[in-house]
Amino acid sequence: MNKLLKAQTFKLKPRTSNLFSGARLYAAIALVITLGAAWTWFNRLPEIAATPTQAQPHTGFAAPNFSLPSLAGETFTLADLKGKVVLVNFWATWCPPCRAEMPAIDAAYRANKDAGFVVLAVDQMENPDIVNLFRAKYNLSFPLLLDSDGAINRQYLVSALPTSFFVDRKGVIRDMMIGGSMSREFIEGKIKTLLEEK
Amino acid sequence: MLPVLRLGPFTVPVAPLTWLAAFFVLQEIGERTAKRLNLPADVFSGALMWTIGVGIVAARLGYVASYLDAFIAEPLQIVALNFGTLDVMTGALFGVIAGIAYLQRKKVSLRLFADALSPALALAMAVLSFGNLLTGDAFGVPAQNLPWAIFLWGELRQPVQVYELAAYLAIFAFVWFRAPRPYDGAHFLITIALLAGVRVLLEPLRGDSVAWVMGLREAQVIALVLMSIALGIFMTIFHRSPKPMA
Repeated sequence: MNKLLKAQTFKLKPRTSNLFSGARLYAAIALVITLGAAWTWFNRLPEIAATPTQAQPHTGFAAPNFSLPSLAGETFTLADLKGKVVLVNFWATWCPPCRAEMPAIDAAYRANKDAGFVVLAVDQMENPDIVNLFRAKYNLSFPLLLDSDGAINRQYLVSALPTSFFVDRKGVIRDMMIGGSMSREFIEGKIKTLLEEK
Repeated sequence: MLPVLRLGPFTVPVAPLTWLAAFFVLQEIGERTAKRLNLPADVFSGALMWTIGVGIVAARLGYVASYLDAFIAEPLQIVALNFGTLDVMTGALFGVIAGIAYLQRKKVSLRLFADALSPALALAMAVLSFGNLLTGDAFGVPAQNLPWAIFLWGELRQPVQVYELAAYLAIFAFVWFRAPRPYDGAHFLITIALLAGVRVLLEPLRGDSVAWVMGLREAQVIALVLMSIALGIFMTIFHRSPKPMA
């Protein structure tokens, strides 16, 4: 009877004879955490990397610069807009989701332009007259730029319309949206933090 | 690089597709693991659905609360869900609470559910890494002289997405086939510690790290803390678990 009871007895006791041997396992875990902390410390980012300088059309890079004429004949250069938050929107009048999001972009622009928000809507290789009719129909107030040979679309690797890039005050792409349609609240959600940054 | 898929007249961004694939993996592999652990597959699926369902709703509401001014103008936009408009932390918090509540109602051990989730979690991370490889996200630092570097964003770079993919597959294989399971919940803690450990190890090779205080990489610090907590809990439970005498 005593033998049987003894066999069924459980005890709070660590194993001592395998991989989970208490002292060895504690030491191994302590070593792993210490090495991890050291690795983390020695791989800090240099301060110079705080602002990206390489230009690529992707989140985390500087926005590739471009100059394009607007419908009104004025030339806009992205680099001149440093200090402002810029939405670069690639679109075309024949693209349904592009048409759907234009009123939302305009509403967000009207509400936030005084805080430093700029929209550059880059039309993809269309006749200026068609773009002008579209602008009048939707009563758009932001600049519509004409990428007549598609060079800027290619520079930004635009593979689907609409495609939008949110550029911060330092000229860095902070977010992007492939496809649509963006709502006003979506746009304002994206730019709120960027506008608060100095 | 393949940021979008063209399906006839439709253009589908790849990133949300990889999230859907990751969810499918969580569900399928999770159910299989649940059966191995004698956990009813429908209970596992139910808990997963509650966690993700409540998580998405809470993430959306958290986002709405953060940008209330914009939504007051257009209240109907609250239900116009977009993956880019979610508050992930709020969603994770309430999703986990909902999952725990569901498991308690079904009288199923949370630790057992967590173990069933573990291999699937590693495999889902591998799917997301593959998605990053397709879209060019989570890119590596420049590496001009590396023989196996990949050309991405204008220069040769460390193929971090491939390293992560391989590491997550290895973790999946280890947890599925070999990992010791001295008590319920052990597989989950081991998986979390390994996933976090991979991030600690590979973060310096990433070109999109976000700087925190003193130049520390934010993701690396969070992963280090997570790894330490998982290992600490693992050891604490291990030493408190009753073991039959030899």
